[in-house]
Amino acid sequence: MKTLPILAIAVGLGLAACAPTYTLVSPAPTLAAKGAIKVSPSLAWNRVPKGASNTKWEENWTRNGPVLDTLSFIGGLPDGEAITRQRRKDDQKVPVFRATMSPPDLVSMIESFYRIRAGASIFETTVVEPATFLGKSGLRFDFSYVGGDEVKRKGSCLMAIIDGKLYLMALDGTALHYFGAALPEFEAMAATATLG
Amino acid sequence: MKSAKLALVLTGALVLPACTSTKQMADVGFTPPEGNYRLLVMRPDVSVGLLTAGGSVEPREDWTDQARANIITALRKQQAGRGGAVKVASAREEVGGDPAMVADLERLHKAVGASIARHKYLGQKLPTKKDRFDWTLGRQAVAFGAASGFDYALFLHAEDSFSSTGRVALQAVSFLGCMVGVCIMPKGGQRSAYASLVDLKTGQVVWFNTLSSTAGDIRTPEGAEDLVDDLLGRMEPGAMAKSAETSTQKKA
Repeated sequence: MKTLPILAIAVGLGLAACAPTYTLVSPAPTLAAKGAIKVSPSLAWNRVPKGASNTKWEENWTRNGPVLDTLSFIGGLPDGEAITRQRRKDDQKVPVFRATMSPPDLVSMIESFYRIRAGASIFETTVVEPATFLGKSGLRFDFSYVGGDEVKRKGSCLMAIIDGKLYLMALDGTALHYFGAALPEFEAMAATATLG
Repeated sequence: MKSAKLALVLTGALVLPACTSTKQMADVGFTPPEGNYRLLVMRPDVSVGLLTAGGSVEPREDWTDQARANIITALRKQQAGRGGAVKVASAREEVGGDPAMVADLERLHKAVGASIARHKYLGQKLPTKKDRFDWTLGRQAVAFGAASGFDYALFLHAEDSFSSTGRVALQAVSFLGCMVGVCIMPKGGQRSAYASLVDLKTGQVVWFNTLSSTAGDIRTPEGAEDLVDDLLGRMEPGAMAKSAETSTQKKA
């Protein structure tokens, strides 16, 4: 049995009081992911309120709404933890991070997250290359995928393992417009990001 | 048996007074299209289903097809009186251009519509868009406009559900519960819809309206006409972002 995705446009239902609050990120040097990563956005962003699937090492920003674009930070994820909060069912669990992971392992971990939790039916890796992130040797991983809503999206992810912990900064957005619109800002921020 | 059914329907009617609400938004400077504009109405995205006793909605293809056909007829009838050159597409192939590209544009619009709904209507406000209404479908929409010659594209999304007999019975039982102080009333079938107007010269969503209703039936021509009239009947200019937020509410 399939349920229709009833859109909850309930005008006047008074849900505003219960809604999570997005907060402004001003275009100025800013600490993200509990102060683990320092970035300097040139545009104003909106900090996404924490959700049930977020770990304490994660922080997300958006400009037009998470359905359209999301800038994610993971700051100092320890060995043995997953990049998202695990679910009880085994088929919903994602691989945990290990400090000894090789570049292919890290790429596989991200891909598994998208397939298991984002409902990606099609996932394609477009770029895997060495990169400098937070002043350390790391990895750049670009990809495209189609999620459960059939919208084509692209992603770009910079990762580095520093002192056995995972640091990550990623942009995810619709392949039409929103990913490309935010990419220059993402690349500029990533290039100048430092440890907090 | 007949009287029992009638009692259930009356109970439902008493508990859930039917009403329709709309709320439209437009960015600063928006004026409804007039003159010699060329408007393309995209194939409406419609889904209709059966609301089960348990609260899930089972999609019904026959109802969906019927509702979509009625909405297309209602759109043609309504837009014929608006002026401008209007084309209402009943299939993706009628839109023109590469069907795959059109499909991508439709899906992007659905995501943009969901974002507008969440961040402008459901209280999850984005501080950067506090006094602005500036979502876009981007360059692909502009390229589509240039290739097709249309000035605007109108998108319409509608979802509807109708209570099963079991759901109605559950509501009746719940109503009795209310009378003895235990009041948990399950919702009946309801409709939500939104429409957006995209300027194909800029790609911007320049006008947006939502509708929420517990009345009517879009599986009938009259119900579809009501939906189209409520959603598209009075397109407000956007003199100021704040004053362009207009709401209407009517009891059916």
